[in-house]
Amino acid sequence: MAALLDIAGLRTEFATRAGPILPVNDVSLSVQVGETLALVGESGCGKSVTALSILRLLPRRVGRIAAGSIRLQGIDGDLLTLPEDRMRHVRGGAIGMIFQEPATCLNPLLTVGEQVAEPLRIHRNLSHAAAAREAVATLASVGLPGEDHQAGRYPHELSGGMRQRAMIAVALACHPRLLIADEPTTALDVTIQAQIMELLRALQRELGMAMLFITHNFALVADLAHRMAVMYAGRIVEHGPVAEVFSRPRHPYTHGLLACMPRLGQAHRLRAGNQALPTIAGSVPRLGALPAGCSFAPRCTLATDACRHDTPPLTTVSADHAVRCLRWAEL
Amino acid sequence: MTPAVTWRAHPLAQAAGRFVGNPLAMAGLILLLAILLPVIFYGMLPGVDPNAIDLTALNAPPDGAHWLGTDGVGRDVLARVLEGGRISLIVASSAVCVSMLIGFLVGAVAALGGALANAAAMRLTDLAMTLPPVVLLLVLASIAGQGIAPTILVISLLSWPVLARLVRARLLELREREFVIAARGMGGGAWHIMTRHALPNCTDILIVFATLQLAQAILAEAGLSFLGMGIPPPAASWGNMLNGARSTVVLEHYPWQWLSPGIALLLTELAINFIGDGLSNALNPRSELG
Repeated sequence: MAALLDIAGLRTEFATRAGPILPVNDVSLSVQVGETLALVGESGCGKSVTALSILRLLPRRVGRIAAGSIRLQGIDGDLLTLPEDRMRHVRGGAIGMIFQEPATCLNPLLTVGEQVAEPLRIHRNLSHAAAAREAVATLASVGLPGEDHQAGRYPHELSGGMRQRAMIAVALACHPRLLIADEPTTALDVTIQAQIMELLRALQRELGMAMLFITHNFALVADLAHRMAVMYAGRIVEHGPVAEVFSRPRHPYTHGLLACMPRLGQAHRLRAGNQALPTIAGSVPRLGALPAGCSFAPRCTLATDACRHDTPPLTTVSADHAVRCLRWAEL
Repeated sequence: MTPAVTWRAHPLAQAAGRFVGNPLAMAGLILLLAILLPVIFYGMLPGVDPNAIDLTALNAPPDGAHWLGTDGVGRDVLARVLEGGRISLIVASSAVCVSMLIGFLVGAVAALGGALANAAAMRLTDLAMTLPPVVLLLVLASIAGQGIAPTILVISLLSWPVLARLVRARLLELREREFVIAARGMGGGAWHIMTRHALPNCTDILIVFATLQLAQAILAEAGLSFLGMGIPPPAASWGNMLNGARSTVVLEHYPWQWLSPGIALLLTELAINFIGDGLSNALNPRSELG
């Protein structure tokens, strides 16, 4: 498999009153053609900023990409230095993106049909009528069928799940090779969540596209992804094949996260043993005040003086599994 | 999937409903139509000629032949009020269109164009706002000269800054909204953001500005013409008809000659202002809550 997206050493800087912080620090990732890579981590760990950096949609005047390179198969040169007009054809053309909040990501004043037609008109130069026809077909393919005249509805007339379907239709209208899904189901009910995941899976199979799936929900990762990368305080701390990371997490943080996940039948067992659900002690450090050395060291039960001294390098565990921990072998 | 569809009308349809339910605004609309229809269509009536001279009736008071009397050279005042209204409204509505275009573009460039464009556009706006309007009006008018086109230019150059600020404020907020970021994420460029997202989301501002500014522009035109800087005679405009009242003879003895355009101006202003207030209430999304 060839790498579709290759991110190397990405470092994104936000200017704050207290000085610059690094929400994304030295992140390297690659997504193969047709595969799903899950990017996992707590709120504020830099997942979404990574996604926005790929598309260069960081808030102006605040965010800036300080270092790194992002290459996309079929595009000459680095996405980070691509001229804005060529970058526009990458956005929505080669890379589609869906956001967390379907309620706020659609313009309330345009019908969903019009909004799905927009990328078609921008990237494929379709006429108004042709784009409208294509939009109805795209909406039908995400489960908003044309016979219900869904294309003519305004976002406020749709439920959350239907809005997310409409967002997916906007992102997929031009058949991107990579879909970035930033917590696409967080704002939805569990039942709708399952439907949206099923839809994404079906569309991925049908269109053969790769997906960068951002979530903090391990159940979805296990369900959908081939590989996963775990982020903590702006850095990737572990990445590898989903099955391997789940069965044998090598970073104490990943290990802790997996242990925190409630499992069926566990409640009974915990209550019987008068135990609480395990948690990771402490909280995520502020990006402005990161400890020296490993960012996770203050919360880590295995931390040694060496951990507090230097940031551990990304160490290869097996062919496709790497971890940023000095004591991974002991886990 | 449960079709949890809330059946509510398009936002503009809701606003139209609120407008129709406002008696003052509807009265304004009816009054404006009552003025507009004869002003627009008087040319189709036989025997109404604003420049025809009836030498048998100089300064004649209102009677059956001349419903609003005649002026000093025997021209029918009613015909001239209608013609003057036509010119006033053409000038005012063109000026509003031009100033809306300038105001929206400057506001949009300021909000969407980056720090430098923002600074440049807003300092220009500040500059345009600090100049005293009457003096600027007179200077511009004396440079641009008389006639319809210069008058339109002068009025529109005066009125855009307010709109530019309103539009900028709205777009600064809109710029950070997720659907605009999403639109950029699917490849929308500056033009796309401006036409598909900025413009529709400024509709309410533009509509209210247009109505209230129309009233302002009619007054400005009348003021300019009154001062002899706007529409030159013999063409009729409400302003240059009012100019006639500068003569004490006309003021005292021939009140129909200045009362008629004055009342027409007053009623039009009132009607437009009622409509403008009604629109700004109707288009305010919070008005249904209060």
